[in-house]
Amino acid sequence: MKNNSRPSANLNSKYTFQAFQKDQFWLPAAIMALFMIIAVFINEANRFNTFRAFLGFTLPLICGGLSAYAFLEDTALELQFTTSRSTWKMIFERLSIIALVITLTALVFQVYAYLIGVDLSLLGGLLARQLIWAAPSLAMLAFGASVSLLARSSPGGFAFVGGFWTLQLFMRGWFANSPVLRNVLLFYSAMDPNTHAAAVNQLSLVWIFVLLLLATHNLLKKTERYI
Amino acid sequence: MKQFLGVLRYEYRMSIKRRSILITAFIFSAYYIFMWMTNEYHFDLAEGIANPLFAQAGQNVFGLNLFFPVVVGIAASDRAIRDFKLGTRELLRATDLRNSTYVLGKYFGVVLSFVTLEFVIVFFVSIFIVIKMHWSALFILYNLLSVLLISTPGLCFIIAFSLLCPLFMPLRVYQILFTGYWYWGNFISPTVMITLSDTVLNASGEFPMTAFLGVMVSADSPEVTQAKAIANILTLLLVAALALTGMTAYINKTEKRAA
Amino acid sequence: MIEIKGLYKSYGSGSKSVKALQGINLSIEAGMFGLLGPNGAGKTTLMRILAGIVNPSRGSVRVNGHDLAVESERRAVKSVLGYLPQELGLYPDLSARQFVDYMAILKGVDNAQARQKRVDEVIAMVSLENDADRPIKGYSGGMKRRVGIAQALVNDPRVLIVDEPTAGLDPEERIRFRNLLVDLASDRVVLLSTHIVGDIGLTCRNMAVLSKGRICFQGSPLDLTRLAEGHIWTIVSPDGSKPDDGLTVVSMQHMPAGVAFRVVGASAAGYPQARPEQPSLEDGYMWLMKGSNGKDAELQD
Repeated sequence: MKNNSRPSANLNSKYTFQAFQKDQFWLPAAIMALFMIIAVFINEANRFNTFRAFLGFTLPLICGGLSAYAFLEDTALELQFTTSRSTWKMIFERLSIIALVITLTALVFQVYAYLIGVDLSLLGGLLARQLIWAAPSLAMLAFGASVSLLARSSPGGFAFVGGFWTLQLFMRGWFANSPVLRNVLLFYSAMDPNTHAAAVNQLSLVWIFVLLLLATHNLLKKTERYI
Repeated sequence: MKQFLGVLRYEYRMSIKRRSILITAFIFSAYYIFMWMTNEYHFDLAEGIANPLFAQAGQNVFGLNLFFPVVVGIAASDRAIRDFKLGTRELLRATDLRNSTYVLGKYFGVVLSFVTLEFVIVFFVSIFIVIKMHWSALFILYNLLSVLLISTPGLCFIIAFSLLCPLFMPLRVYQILFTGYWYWGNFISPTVMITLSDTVLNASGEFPMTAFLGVMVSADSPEVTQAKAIANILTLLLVAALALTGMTAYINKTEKRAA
Repeated sequence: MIEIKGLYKSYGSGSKSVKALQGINLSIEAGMFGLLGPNGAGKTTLMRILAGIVNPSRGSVRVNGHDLAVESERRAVKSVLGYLPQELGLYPDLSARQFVDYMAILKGVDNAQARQKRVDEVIAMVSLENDADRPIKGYSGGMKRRVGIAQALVNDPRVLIVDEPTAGLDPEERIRFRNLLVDLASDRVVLLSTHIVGDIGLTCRNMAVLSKGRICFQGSPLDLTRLAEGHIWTIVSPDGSKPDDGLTVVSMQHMPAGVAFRVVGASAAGYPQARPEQPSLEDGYMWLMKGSNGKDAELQD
């Protein structure tokens, strides 16, 4: 029964979808639905801001929240660790599902904006606009995963993620005014789109994602911390 | 009463001994001190304040209260549901402990643990401020009183929901919704969208701070009478009591169904 | 096939440090090997180290010639490993068939047809055919244990590590599983960790006893039994009072003449009515445990 051919990733994903909590699929959709309703009833002047708030502010929080629970809530974690697949593969399996769900949510929400006639071009062109939510969401994806592994607790990790997000929200003006700290402000490119500073911020968030992903890998390798 | 105190004591211990929560609280305290050093906090004081030192203390606690309840709400939300997940609820059911005693003991244990944590943070931060600013040591006492006046009613309110809601919704769903609620329900201006922030359900502590200490969050903040602030505190406590009653009823019902 | 040399494992640091393993040396060949010991002896830590999910503090472990300290070699070991942990977690929404299939995929059993066949085989081995398509959340404790056993076998492992596998199984299932392990051990290493002495005696050719993180015995079950020769008696007490004088009561039986106590001890000189008995494996274990409190070094094989 020794196998040399490549693993069938599609089947693996099917079970990964089935095995884990379903809320990672319906939660982003439910919050999006809430914002869709708000967008209809809110006054015209604030309609654009509702879309910006969901894409640039809320999606990264959802992403961080879901990723904080991506590993340690696994009831069969000890068995998962005894399989021969690499740590990177395990990270990819868990985080790519979240990234996929967040991406779909963001795209559907933009289609909705188009359908109800909200002009999102203030956030940039079609591709540039995607970085408004993608860069901070990626950073939060790796942040949630790494902090929960560091804390060895999903609720503990999310307490930090939620606290950090709230802190940045309240202090966004202060962060944005600092030429250094604005590069770690999750919401900067939503607040000040189409600028050079926004591009630098997005690049910096992607780098943060890469660094935190490496940290996640190193933490997850220490399997005995989690069993 | 002995059972209630027993539940309370052990809930308190288990809640306050979590390293990740203590580290998070420590980091926020460090941030808080940092903000003080850089003089970032500057609220507009209402004219004719009777006790400026107390007002300043209230302002400090309100500053911490912008984000500290987010950590509290998230950290408290696994306290009840974990008993069901770990199977300890089944053990407790085999004793003569009443569900209402269990809920109350757990609730007050968790509330006291976070109030203690906030007391400790505020205590050390206020010592730091007294030394830095050469203020009277009374400032430390005013800070601790401000925790009770400004922060505790809101904590009582959110902790009740943090114990109740994860019983019937996934934990992380509650935590994400709670984080969003904290900003939407307490700080978004009602001119932007429908929100709880201008109602007596505002849990940020802004109403008692403005009404009793004369501190306004911003120049265009609405005026708050003392009657409204008292109504705010009483409403938060009443709604918390209702949530706990609901939690007891929910546990009774699910256990009856399972029996 | 498994070589353990100078293995140490500590958890924590400073005064709160717990020494789980303290200088383990073991050599385990193909066949069934039993690991016995009281709770907290370090059995689960040793199993987890062998499964590649806990790193040793010191010492070396080689499985099939692969050094577990090296990442690539550890993965090679995992690819031929079957592991049943003591505290088994499953996905409640999956059926047994889906769960075992999922674990087979994760273990690299890629060919869909072969995998399907193997999943069916192991499901049958643990007698779950009739319930294999129901969600696991509706299973009894014993059924969940059987799912655990099935997933451990699904990749046809060359090294099978099972930690308390028969906990929660009814007597019939336990016998069936013991026989299954013996069959499997004909051409591979099966490492059985348990504190049920009977399971070891009925299945293992070789065994070790772990106490307080140290190996205090290594040999065959017969060798362990022989350790207690001359130290087992039956004492009938007409008034039912328990024998004392450093004797450990292994069992007691109520009879018309009084209570018959089976005891383990260095000497029953204080009881003239004591009748010497042939030791069992359980007696041997009890005798060893009595001695291991102060004589670890003497008993180390």
